[in-house]
Amino acid sequence: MTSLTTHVAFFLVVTFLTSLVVMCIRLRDPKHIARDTTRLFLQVTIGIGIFCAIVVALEHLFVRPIA
Amino acid sequence: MAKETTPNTKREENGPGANYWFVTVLSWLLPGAGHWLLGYRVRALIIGSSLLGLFWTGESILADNMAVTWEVHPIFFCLQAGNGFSAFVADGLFGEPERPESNLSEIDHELPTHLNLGILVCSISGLLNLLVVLHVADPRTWKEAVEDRNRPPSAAEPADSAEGKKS
Repeated sequence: MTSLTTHVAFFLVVTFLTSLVVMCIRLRDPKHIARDTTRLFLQVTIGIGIFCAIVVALEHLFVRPIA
Repeated sequence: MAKETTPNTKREENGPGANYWFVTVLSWLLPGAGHWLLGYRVRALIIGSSLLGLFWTGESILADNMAVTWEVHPIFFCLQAGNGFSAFVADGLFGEPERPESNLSEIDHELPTHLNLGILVCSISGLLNLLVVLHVADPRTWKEAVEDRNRPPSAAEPADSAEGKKS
């Protein structure tokens, strides 16, 4: 497993568990916990994914070509 | 989930008592224990397994006796200490620095590959458990636990659904 893959995998795991624990604190109904955990997880991963794509694009354009 | 209750959900009317502090401290020492004692057992199992799994996964990344300890990095140890008992067990098991302080370049070469991930994961686990402790320490949580305990079984399902957005 490459270093990038490991970091992405841990990012996904940590994001999911953080969403789950936060929703377990806020909510009581299991259905709401599952739904809002998924929603928060997707929001964070998609948001950071977009941010990463912008950074990679800027790096590709202005800093150095990516191998 | 909210209907599972224990006698420990009794709340002192004249402010926090010994039971309140016992549950709060136990919530810090063992993630999920506070919610378990308040009667929220499914949530307690989810919280406990998530946080303990996260912490010990981070510790396993930091294998080869390379856990974050007070001696190695006091700030990150404070963040890890949010995990309570687990952090001190890990400190006791892996905390003894084995490398000579005089040879720093050798230490750098021997650092675990994913040391940053291990520190991050353990610290996040500790901070999340502090959130859990704050929730247990909130008097409103105790009030809700008492209300859930006193709610008749037939009213449990609609009440849970109605109050699902806010706990």
